Amino acid sequence: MRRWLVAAVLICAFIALAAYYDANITYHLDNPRESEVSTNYDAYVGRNVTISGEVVSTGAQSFELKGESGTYTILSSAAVQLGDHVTIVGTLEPGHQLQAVAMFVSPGVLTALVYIRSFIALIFVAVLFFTSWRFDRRGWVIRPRKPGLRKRDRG
Amino acid sequence: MDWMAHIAFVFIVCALLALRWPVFGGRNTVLVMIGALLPDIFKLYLPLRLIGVNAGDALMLFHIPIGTLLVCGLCALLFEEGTRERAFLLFAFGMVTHYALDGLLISVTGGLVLLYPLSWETWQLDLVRPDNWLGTTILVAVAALTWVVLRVWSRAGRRIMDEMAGDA
Repeated sequence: MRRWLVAAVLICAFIALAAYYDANITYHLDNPRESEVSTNYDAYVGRNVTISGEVVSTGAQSFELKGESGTYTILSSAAVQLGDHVTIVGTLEPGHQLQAVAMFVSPGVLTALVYIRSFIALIFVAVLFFTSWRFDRRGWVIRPRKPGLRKRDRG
Repeated sequence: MDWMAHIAFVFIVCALLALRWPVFGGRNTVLVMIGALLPDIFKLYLPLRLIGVNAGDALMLFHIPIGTLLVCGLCALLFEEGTRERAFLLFAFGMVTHYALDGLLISVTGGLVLLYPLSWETWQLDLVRPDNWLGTTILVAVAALTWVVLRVWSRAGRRIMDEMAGDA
Protein backbone atom coordinates (compact mmCIF):
# COMPACT_ATOMS: atom_id res chain seq x y z
CA MET A 1 0.00 0.00 0.00
CA ARG A 2 2.80 2.39 1.01
CA ARG A 3 4.61 1.54 -2.22
CA TRP A 4 1.63 2.59 -4.34
CA LEU A 5 1.30 5.80 -2.33
CA VAL A 6 4.96 6.70 -2.90
CA ALA A 7 4.56 5.84 -6.60
CA ALA A 8 1.52 8.12 -6.84
CA VAL A 9 3.43 10.99 -5.19
CA LEU A 10 6.39 10.54 -7.55
CA ILE A 11 4.12 10.42 -10.61
CA CYS A 12 2.25 13.56 -9.48
CA ALA A 13 5.55 15.38 -8.88
CA PHE A 14 6.76 14.33 -12.33
CA ILE A 15 3.58 15.47 -14.06
CA ALA A 16 3.63 18.82 -12.22
CA LEU A 17 7.28 19.50 -13.12
CA ALA A 18 6.79 18.36 -16.72
CA ALA A 19 3.71 20.57 -17.13
CA TYR A 20 5.56 23.58 -15.67
CA TYR A 21 8.48 22.96 -18.01
CA ASP A 22 6.21 22.57 -21.02
CA ALA A 23 4.35 25.78 -20.19
CA ASN A 24 7.42 27.92 -19.56
CA ILE A 25 10.27 26.68 -21.76
CA THR A 26 9.31 29.15 -24.51
CA TYR A 27 10.28 32.08 -22.25
CA HIS A 28 13.72 30.63 -21.44
CA LEU A 29 15.01 29.64 -24.86
CA ASP A 30 18.16 31.28 -26.25
CA ASN A 31 16.43 31.31 -29.63
CA PRO A 32 12.81 30.56 -30.59
CA ARG A 33 12.28 27.24 -32.37
CA GLU A 34 10.22 26.26 -35.37
CA SER A 35 7.18 25.48 -33.22
CA GLU A 36 7.16 29.10 -31.96
CA VAL A 37 8.05 30.60 -35.35
CA SER A 38 5.28 28.74 -37.18
CA THR A 39 2.59 30.22 -34.90
CA ASN A 40 3.48 33.85 -35.77
CA TYR A 41 6.14 34.03 -38.48
CA ASP A 42 6.20 37.80 -38.94
CA ALA A 43 6.85 38.44 -35.24
CA TYR A 44 10.16 36.60 -35.48
CA VAL A 45 11.51 38.13 -38.72
CA GLY A 46 14.91 39.71 -38.03
CA ARG A 47 15.48 37.61 -34.92
CA ASN A 48 17.74 34.60 -34.44
CA VAL A 49 15.80 31.34 -34.44
CA THR A 50 16.64 27.62 -34.38
CA ILE A 51 15.40 25.31 -37.11
CA SER A 52 16.10 21.57 -37.42
CA GLY A 53 15.33 19.32 -40.32
CA GLU A 54 16.47 17.36 -43.32
CA VAL A 55 18.17 18.76 -46.43
CA VAL A 56 15.82 18.29 -49.38
CA SER A 57 17.69 20.24 -52.08
CA THR A 58 21.05 21.96 -52.45
CA GLY A 59 22.38 24.96 -54.38
CA ALA A 60 25.55 27.04 -54.65
CA GLN A 61 24.84 29.59 -51.90
CA SER A 62 21.78 28.03 -50.27
CA PHE A 63 19.93 24.81 -49.56
CA GLU A 64 16.40 23.81 -48.65
CA LEU A 65 15.66 22.39 -45.22
CA LYS A 66 12.45 20.53 -44.47
CA GLY A 67 11.49 21.27 -40.88
CA GLU A 68 8.55 20.03 -38.82
CA SER A 69 5.99 22.39 -40.31
CA GLY A 70 7.53 23.82 -43.45
CA THR A 71 10.48 24.10 -45.80
CA TYR A 72 13.05 26.86 -45.33
CA THR A 73 15.67 28.25 -47.67
CA ILE A 74 18.95 28.43 -45.78
CA LEU A 75 21.37 31.06 -47.04
CA SER A 76 24.74 29.46 -46.44
CA SER A 77 27.67 28.21 -48.48
CA ALA A 78 28.24 25.27 -46.14
CA ALA A 79 28.65 21.93 -47.89
CA VAL A 80 25.61 19.78 -47.20
CA GLN A 81 24.24 16.68 -48.91
CA LEU A 82 20.69 15.56 -49.58
CA GLY A 83 19.36 13.69 -46.54
CA ASP A 84 21.71 15.35 -44.05
CA HIS A 85 20.17 16.26 -40.72
CA VAL A 86 20.87 19.93 -39.98
CA THR A 87 20.27 22.13 -36.95
CA ILE A 88 20.66 25.82 -37.66
CA VAL A 89 20.70 28.99 -35.63
CA GLY A 90 20.11 31.85 -38.00
CA THR A 91 18.40 35.18 -38.65
CA LEU A 92 14.88 34.72 -39.92
CA GLU A 93 14.02 36.60 -43.10
CA PRO A 94 10.72 37.04 -44.92
CA GLY A 95 9.60 34.23 -47.22
CA HIS A 96 10.80 31.29 -45.13
CA GLN A 97 14.45 32.22 -45.49
CA LEU A 98 17.15 31.94 -42.88
CA GLN A 99 20.61 33.52 -42.86
CA ALA A 100 22.72 30.88 -41.10
CA VAL A 101 24.77 32.00 -38.07
CA ALA A 102 25.71 28.62 -36.57
CA MET A 103 25.04 25.19 -37.95
CA PHE A 104 25.41 21.53 -37.00
CA VAL A 105 25.33 19.07 -39.87
CA SER A 106 24.95 15.36 -39.31
CA PRO A 107 25.11 13.10 -42.37
CA GLY A 108 21.97 10.99 -42.76
CA VAL A 109 23.95 7.74 -42.56
CA LEU A 110 25.61 8.68 -39.26
CA THR A 111 22.25 9.68 -37.77
CA ALA A 112 20.77 6.33 -38.82
CA LEU A 113 23.77 4.51 -37.33
CA VAL A 114 23.15 6.20 -33.95
CA TYR A 115 19.67 4.66 -33.89
CA ILE A 116 20.92 1.25 -35.01
CA ARG A 117 23.67 1.19 -32.35
CA SER A 118 21.19 2.31 -29.71
CA PHE A 119 18.72 -0.42 -30.69
CA ILE A 120 21.43 -3.10 -30.40
CA ALA A 121 22.41 -1.68 -27.00
CA LEU A 122 18.79 -1.78 -25.84
CA ILE A 123 18.46 -5.45 -26.79
CA PHE A 124 21.76 -6.20 -25.00
CA VAL A 125 20.66 -4.49 -21.78
CA ALA A 126 17.23 -6.19 -21.89
CA VAL A 127 18.81 -9.64 -22.27
CA LEU A 128 21.36 -8.90 -19.55
CA PHE A 129 18.61 -7.67 -17.21
CA PHE A 130 16.35 -10.70 -17.66
CA THR A 131 19.21 -13.15 -17.17
CA SER A 132 19.84 -11.65 -13.72
CA TRP A 133 16.40 -10.46 -12.63
CA ARG A 134 12.86 -11.70 -13.02
CA PHE A 135 9.51 -9.98 -12.78
CA ASP A 136 7.19 -11.63 -10.25
CA ARG A 137 3.67 -10.91 -11.47
CA ARG A 138 2.06 -12.01 -8.20
CA GLY A 139 3.63 -9.28 -6.10
CA TRP A 140 4.42 -6.88 -8.97
CA VAL A 141 8.05 -6.89 -7.91
CA ILE A 142 11.39 -7.57 -9.54
CA ARG A 143 13.49 -10.21 -7.79
CA PRO A 144 17.00 -11.57 -8.39
CA ARG A 145 17.05 -14.81 -10.41
CA LYS A 146 19.60 -16.50 -8.14
CA PRO A 147 18.98 -15.57 -4.51
CA GLY A 148 22.26 -17.25 -3.56
CA LEU A 149 24.22 -14.40 -5.13
CA ARG A 150 22.53 -11.64 -3.17
CA LYS A 151 25.02 -11.73 -0.28
CA ARG A 152 27.93 -11.22 -2.64
CA ASP A 153 26.20 -8.31 -4.37
CA ARG A 154 25.68 -6.50 -1.09
CA GLY A 155 29.46 -6.24 -0.72
CA MET B 1 25.34 10.17 -27.43
CA ASP B 2 24.15 6.71 -28.50
CA TRP B 3 23.12 4.07 -25.99
CA MET B 4 25.96 1.72 -26.92
CA ALA B 5 28.45 4.37 -25.75
CA HIS B 6 26.48 4.88 -22.54
CA ILE B 7 26.37 1.20 -21.57
CA ALA B 8 29.99 0.59 -22.56
CA PHE B 9 31.03 3.53 -20.36
CA VAL B 10 28.94 2.20 -17.47
CA PHE B 11 30.45 -1.26 -17.87
CA ILE B 12 34.00 0.12 -17.70
CA VAL B 13 33.26 2.34 -14.68
CA CYS B 14 31.38 -0.42 -12.81
CA ALA B 15 34.04 -3.04 -13.58
CA LEU B 16 36.70 -0.78 -12.07
CA LEU B 17 34.58 0.24 -9.07
CA ALA B 18 33.62 -3.39 -8.40
CA LEU B 19 37.28 -4.18 -7.73
CA ARG B 20 36.95 -2.11 -4.56
CA TRP B 21 33.17 -2.17 -3.99
CA PRO B 22 31.54 -5.45 -5.15
CA VAL B 23 28.11 -3.82 -5.06
CA PHE B 24 28.85 -2.38 -8.52
CA GLY B 25 29.51 -5.84 -9.98
CA GLY B 26 27.44 -8.88 -10.85
CA ARG B 27 23.77 -8.31 -11.57
CA ASN B 28 23.90 -4.78 -10.22
CA THR B 29 25.88 -3.52 -13.22
CA VAL B 30 22.80 -3.85 -15.43
CA LEU B 31 20.84 -1.61 -13.04
CA VAL B 32 23.46 1.11 -13.51
CA MET B 33 23.19 0.54 -17.28
CA ILE B 34 19.41 0.99 -17.11
CA GLY B 35 19.90 4.14 -15.04
CA ALA B 36 22.17 5.43 -17.79
CA LEU B 37 19.42 4.92 -20.37
CA LEU B 38 16.51 6.34 -18.33
CA PRO B 39 17.09 10.01 -19.32
CA ASP B 40 16.64 9.07 -22.98
CA ILE B 41 13.04 7.95 -22.42
CA PHE B 42 12.33 11.48 -23.65
CA LYS B 43 13.24 10.24 -27.13
CA LEU B 44 9.80 8.68 -27.24
CA TYR B 45 8.90 12.03 -28.79
CA LEU B 46 10.47 10.76 -32.05
CA PRO B 47 7.97 7.94 -32.72
CA LEU B 48 5.18 10.17 -31.38
CA ARG B 49 6.11 12.79 -33.96
CA LEU B 50 5.51 10.22 -36.69
CA ILE B 51 1.86 10.09 -35.65
CA GLY B 52 1.62 13.89 -35.47
CA VAL B 53 2.04 14.33 -31.70
CA ASN B 54 4.61 16.97 -30.73
CA ALA B 55 5.47 15.94 -27.15
CA GLY B 56 9.12 17.02 -27.11
CA ASP B 57 8.71 19.64 -24.38
CA ALA B 58 6.29 17.55 -22.31
CA LEU B 59 8.71 14.60 -22.28
CA MET B 60 11.86 16.67 -21.81
CA LEU B 61 11.67 16.29 -18.01
CA PHE B 62 12.93 12.72 -18.48
CA HIS B 63 16.19 14.30 -19.69
CA ILE B 64 16.53 16.68 -16.75
CA PRO B 65 18.16 15.37 -13.54
CA ILE B 66 15.18 16.06 -11.24
CA GLY B 67 12.85 14.22 -13.63
CA THR B 68 15.25 11.32 -14.10
CA LEU B 69 15.60 11.02 -10.31
CA LEU B 70 11.82 10.72 -9.99
CA VAL B 71 11.85 8.00 -12.67
CA CYS B 72 14.73 6.27 -10.83
CA GLY B 73 12.54 6.30 -7.72
CA LEU B 74 9.58 4.85 -9.62
CA CYS B 75 11.73 2.11 -11.16
CA ALA B 76 13.26 1.29 -7.76
CA LEU B 77 9.75 0.81 -6.35
CA LEU B 78 9.36 -2.14 -8.71
CA PHE B 79 12.03 -4.00 -6.78
CA GLU B 80 11.35 -6.13 -3.73
CA GLU B 81 11.59 -4.56 -0.32
CA GLY B 82 15.13 -4.49 1.01
CA THR B 83 16.68 -3.93 -2.41
CA ARG B 84 14.84 -0.74 -3.36
CA GLU B 85 17.29 1.75 -1.84
CA ARG B 86 20.21 0.03 -3.48
CA ALA B 87 18.39 -0.16 -6.82
CA PHE B 88 17.57 3.56 -6.58
CA LEU B 89 21.18 4.50 -5.86
CA LEU B 90 22.45 2.31 -8.71
CA PHE B 91 19.92 3.84 -11.14
CA ALA B 92 20.90 7.32 -9.94
CA PHE B 93 24.58 6.51 -10.44
CA GLY B 94 23.79 5.41 -14.00
CA MET B 95 21.93 8.67 -14.50
CA VAL B 96 25.03 10.63 -13.43
CA THR B 97 27.15 8.78 -16.00
CA HIS B 98 24.56 9.66 -18.67
CA TYR B 99 24.75 13.38 -17.96
CA ALA B 100 28.54 13.22 -17.67
CA LEU B 101 28.78 11.83 -21.23
CA ASP B 102 26.00 13.99 -22.69
CA GLY B 103 27.67 17.08 -21.23
CA LEU B 104 30.56 16.51 -23.64
CA LEU B 105 28.37 16.78 -26.74
CA ILE B 106 28.30 19.61 -29.26
CA SER B 107 25.01 21.51 -29.31
CA VAL B 108 24.05 24.66 -31.20
CA THR B 109 20.68 24.93 -29.45
CA GLY B 110 21.77 25.34 -25.82
CA GLY B 111 22.54 22.27 -23.76
CA LEU B 112 21.56 20.34 -20.65
CA VAL B 113 19.15 21.99 -18.23
CA LEU B 114 20.79 20.50 -15.17
CA LEU B 115 19.31 22.60 -12.36
CA TYR B 116 15.63 22.85 -13.38
CA PRO B 117 13.38 23.93 -11.61
CA LEU B 118 15.92 26.09 -9.73
CA SER B 119 17.48 27.45 -12.91
CA TRP B 120 16.84 27.34 -16.66
CA GLU B 121 20.54 27.77 -17.38
CA THR B 122 21.96 25.27 -19.91
CA TRP B 123 25.39 23.66 -19.91
CA GLN B 124 27.38 21.91 -22.63
CA LEU B 125 31.11 21.40 -23.18
CA ASP B 126 30.79 21.18 -27.01
CA LEU B 127 33.60 18.66 -27.39
CA VAL B 128 32.10 15.58 -29.11
CA ARG B 129 29.73 15.25 -32.06
CA PRO B 130 26.48 13.47 -31.13
CA ASP B 131 26.81 11.16 -34.16
CA ASN B 132 30.43 10.31 -33.34
CA TRP B 133 31.03 6.61 -34.06
CA LEU B 134 34.75 6.59 -33.21
CA GLY B 135 34.13 7.45 -29.54
CA THR B 136 31.56 4.66 -29.29
CA THR B 137 33.94 2.19 -30.96
CA ILE B 138 36.73 3.11 -28.54
CA LEU B 139 34.42 2.78 -25.51
CA VAL B 140 33.12 -0.62 -26.69
CA ALA B 141 36.69 -1.82 -27.37
CA VAL B 142 37.86 -0.71 -23.91
CA ALA B 143 34.78 -2.36 -22.33
CA ALA B 144 35.52 -5.63 -24.16
CA LEU B 145 39.19 -5.46 -23.14
CA THR B 146 38.20 -4.77 -19.52
CA TRP B 147 35.85 -7.77 -19.57
CA VAL B 148 38.58 -10.09 -20.95
CA VAL B 149 41.24 -8.83 -18.50
CA LEU B 150 38.91 -9.22 -15.51
CA ARG B 151 37.91 -12.75 -16.57
CA VAL B 152 41.55 -13.83 -16.99
CA TRP B 153 42.45 -12.17 -13.69
CA SER B 154 39.62 -13.81 -11.77
CA ARG B 155 40.41 -17.26 -13.27
CA ALA B 156 44.09 -16.87 -12.39
CA GLY B 157 43.14 -15.78 -8.88
CA ARG B 158 40.85 -18.82 -8.45
CA ARG B 159 43.58 -21.18 -9.66
CA ILE B 160 46.07 -19.75 -7.17
CA MET B 161 43.51 -20.10 -4.36
CA ASP B 162 42.80 -23.72 -5.41
CA GLU B 163 46.53 -24.52 -5.47
CA MET B 164 47.01 -22.95 -2.03
CA ALA B 165 44.06 -24.96 -0.70
CA GLY B 166 45.56 -28.10 -2.26
CA ASP B 167 48.98 -27.46 -0.62
CA ALA B 168 47.36 -26.96 2.77
